[in-house]
Amino acid sequence: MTRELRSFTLHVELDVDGVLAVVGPSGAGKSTLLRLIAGLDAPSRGRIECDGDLWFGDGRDLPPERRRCGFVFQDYALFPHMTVRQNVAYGADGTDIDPLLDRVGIRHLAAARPPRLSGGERQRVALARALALQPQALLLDEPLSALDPATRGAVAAELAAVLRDAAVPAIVVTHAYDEAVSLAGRVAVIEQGRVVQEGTPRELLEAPLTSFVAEFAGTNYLPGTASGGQVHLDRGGSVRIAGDASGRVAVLVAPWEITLSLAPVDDSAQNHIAGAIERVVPMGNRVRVTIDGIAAEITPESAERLALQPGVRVIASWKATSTRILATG
Amino acid sequence: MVVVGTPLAYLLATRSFPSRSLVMTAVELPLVLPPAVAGIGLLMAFGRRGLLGHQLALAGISIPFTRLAVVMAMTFVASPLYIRQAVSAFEAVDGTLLEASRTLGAGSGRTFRRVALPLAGSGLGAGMALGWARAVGEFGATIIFAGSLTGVTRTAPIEIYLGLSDNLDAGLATAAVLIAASGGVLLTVKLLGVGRARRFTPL
Repeated sequence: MTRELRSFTLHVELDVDGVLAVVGPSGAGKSTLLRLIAGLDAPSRGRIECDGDLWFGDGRDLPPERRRCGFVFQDYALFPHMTVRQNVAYGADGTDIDPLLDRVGIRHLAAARPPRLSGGERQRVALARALALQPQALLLDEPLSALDPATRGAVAAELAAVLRDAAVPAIVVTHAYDEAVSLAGRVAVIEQGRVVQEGTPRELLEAPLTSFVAEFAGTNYLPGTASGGQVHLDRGGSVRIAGDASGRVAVLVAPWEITLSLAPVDDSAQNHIAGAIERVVPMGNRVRVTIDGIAAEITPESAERLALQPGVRVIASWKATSTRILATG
Repeated sequence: MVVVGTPLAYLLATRSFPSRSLVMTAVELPLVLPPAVAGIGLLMAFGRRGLLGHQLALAGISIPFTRLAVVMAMTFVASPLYIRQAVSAFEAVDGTLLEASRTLGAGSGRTFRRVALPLAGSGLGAGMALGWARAVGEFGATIIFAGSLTGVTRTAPIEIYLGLSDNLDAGLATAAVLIAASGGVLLTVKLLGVGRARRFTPL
């Protein structure tokens, strides 16, 4: 389907079966995509079908209330004047919602009103409310972004289980790679209104087609020009690669393939980049260190032993064999 | 006023259409008109020699100087206050909630009744109080369009005015009643507003 936006045109073709994560920079058209599918906005051209039902196209534009398309809004949009039970029952059409309240673990909150709930509880109410509709499809707009990082992991796991049980096609807009991995089997990347890459999270990590995808998946993406076993990087310097290549390429290095040292070491690694540390970000069982735009991931123990902190000069090294090359034409 | 004005205000608040500002201006016109002009206007429209007076007379209906005339005059001058207040009350309702209602299978009518109306409730209440106060205080349009027939179209402000010349005590008594009634309405609206705010915001 196609829809003109302020500065570009959203043009997307997606076939969703199971859970699809949609990612992209802000303003890429992700939320608009969901609104078009739900019927809250109309595409200028195109076709939307769900399970054989035509929702949009051929002169037909089904209003949102007749699409049975569950929508979990980014800020959850719970009705503040209703209790949790009334919220969930709103679209349930008289069916018993108690099993659903149990399923998402909010039965004890049934009489509470949304303003008193925590972020995680609201998220569950919004999810239960969308499921009570017995939807033909589910749309979730950044369902975890309103939560604090501490609860996000647990809620993501629950959400993944609920989505699996619901067994309807679902689209989850997210901006975090780990969320996409835990929630969805496939990921579509939208930039400037177009799907630039679609695949499993692993495919995105191993062969990112754009610098955004690489950054999103957390791998290093260094564009340059290859000749023989060398790539001259656009940012300056060169990188040795295993094998031959030529023309415009992107050098891909996974952050965990990069080692850091305080002084030059004589080992088998052929690639060394020296620079001052820009950022040190702890990420659970590893620490992500950025040197001159290149991300390395090491264990917290190593980071502590080397006393790494912003401003410290280090040498980042990796083997030519851990470098992958992507032709960019 | 409320029955017609509320859905009109909802449409004005949630839809954008080319003639929106035109409709809005028409709605607000009585607000800037001097009441005497409003009274003359109503008389010219519905009076015996007015635009519609002949047709009404044929149908056996005579509006001026009846209770209906009082109601019409009051509605004419008071409804803009209510509608303006109602429009801003509906505009203050988070549009995402209305959209959420739609995705949950509720058509626009049900969305209006179950989401927009309850959430705009306190604003609508305030608008009704404003409109009521303006209607009770109405003088100019009423006396021109409805006159001052004892027990039929003599409203409280007219009673007070006449009291000045022939029965000051009656005028003062009427004024006292109005003070009590108006104060009571204002207090009720404020209390309702506080109760609502307390229910909807986290403590």
